[in-house]
Amino acid sequence: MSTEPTDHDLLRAHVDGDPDAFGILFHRHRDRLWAVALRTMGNREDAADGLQDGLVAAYRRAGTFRGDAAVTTWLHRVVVNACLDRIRAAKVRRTEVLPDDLEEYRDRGSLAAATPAAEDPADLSVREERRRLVLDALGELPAEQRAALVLVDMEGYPVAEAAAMLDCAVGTVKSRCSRGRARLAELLGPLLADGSSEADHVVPRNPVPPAPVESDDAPRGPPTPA
Amino acid sequence: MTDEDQVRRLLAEARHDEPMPDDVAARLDGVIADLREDKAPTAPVDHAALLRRRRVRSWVLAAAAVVVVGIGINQVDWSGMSMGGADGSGDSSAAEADAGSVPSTALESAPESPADDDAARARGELQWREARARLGRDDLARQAIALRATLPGVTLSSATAEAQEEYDSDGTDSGGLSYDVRCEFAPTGPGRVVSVTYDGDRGWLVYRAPQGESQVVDLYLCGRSKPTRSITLPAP
Repeated sequence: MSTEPTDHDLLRAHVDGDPDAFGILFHRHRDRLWAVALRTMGNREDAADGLQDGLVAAYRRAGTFRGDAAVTTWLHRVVVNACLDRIRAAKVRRTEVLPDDLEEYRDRGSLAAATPAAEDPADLSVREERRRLVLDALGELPAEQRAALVLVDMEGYPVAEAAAMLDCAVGTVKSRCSRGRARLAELLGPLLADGSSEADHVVPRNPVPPAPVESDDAPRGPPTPA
Repeated sequence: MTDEDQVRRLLAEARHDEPMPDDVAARLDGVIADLREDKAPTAPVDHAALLRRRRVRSWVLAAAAVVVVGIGINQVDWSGMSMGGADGSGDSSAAEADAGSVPSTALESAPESPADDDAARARGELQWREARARLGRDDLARQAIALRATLPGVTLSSATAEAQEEYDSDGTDSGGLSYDVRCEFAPTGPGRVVSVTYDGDRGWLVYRAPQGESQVVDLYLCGRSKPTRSITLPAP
């Protein structure tokens, strides 16, 4: 039995004045928050700025958390909203900037480690190129559609939880996802035709990401906790 | 498999599953530390808004630059700190005039007004602003030369550089890392300072005064008090 404080405990402690609680809470979830911010914003600098906005907002508004949702859901909501606010305010043109992590992947073993060990370099190259095309196409979508797809199709959150994060109705998330996928299908047409014949590149949908720390919050999508 | 299924699969493939980069984690840890100490963290720079404002300013300032260039003032005072991308009204016109010598993908026109930096000057600090250039790790010297070609008044030789900060023999900063959330650059001797990104990280190139036939250029990254890289270029 773990004696680690729960997310709720930490947030409550923060509100009560514990100077370290928020840092611990953020550290628990920062990798997933970063992933969401990065994919929503489309580039590293804007993602860091958006995440910082969300971090500050969450820190200062922790007292408004009502406890009727998982703390992680609330954190995601704050961060995603901060990112969307930043996109709207700055009118970021995502298509001009390649996602930075593609550059990072180029010479690193991390991607290789996440793929079959014996994967042919040519296959790896194809995979990277396909990933780049997908992210470029994702950047073409309206920010709200992109955020919905990031949460549902990339991060694997249930639609209901994504709706809570985006602070909108479940039907709205479904609609955004549907329209976003349709648009992506247009943008990625040749890739889809290509992909249908690539049995060797099948990747499980909504892969279970590593969870830095388990949470006792309400059930949610991957990472599959407790 | 339907198109929608394929799209979902592709999106899942493109999921970002790397941990937060160390520099971003350090930055956010710094933000939390500031919040804990009840200091207001500096809001992230709204780059697009800054750029829009500067573009408007640059139109006005460019007109003044014509006058400046027309009377042949093209010297830079290396004895004082020139602010990155804030080299006055001459920047925009001169940069545009020389743009042909620079890889078009490398440089951005992000002129800044000296007025922006008054407060920073008063504090002896310089706030990182819009990157004038995005630099990569490979062949930094070539990139620095190309960037230099866009700066006005670099054909000078009158000033004397002050002693540089000490740095490790391999040119990397193994110490002195003190994360600065605001990403401010404290002057470390005279030179022309240009806001850049280096391999995605924010920082500055500092062009020291030419010494004979060479010119030292130091690269500082945000939060580092010592140069991350230092290169020597042929004097302009």
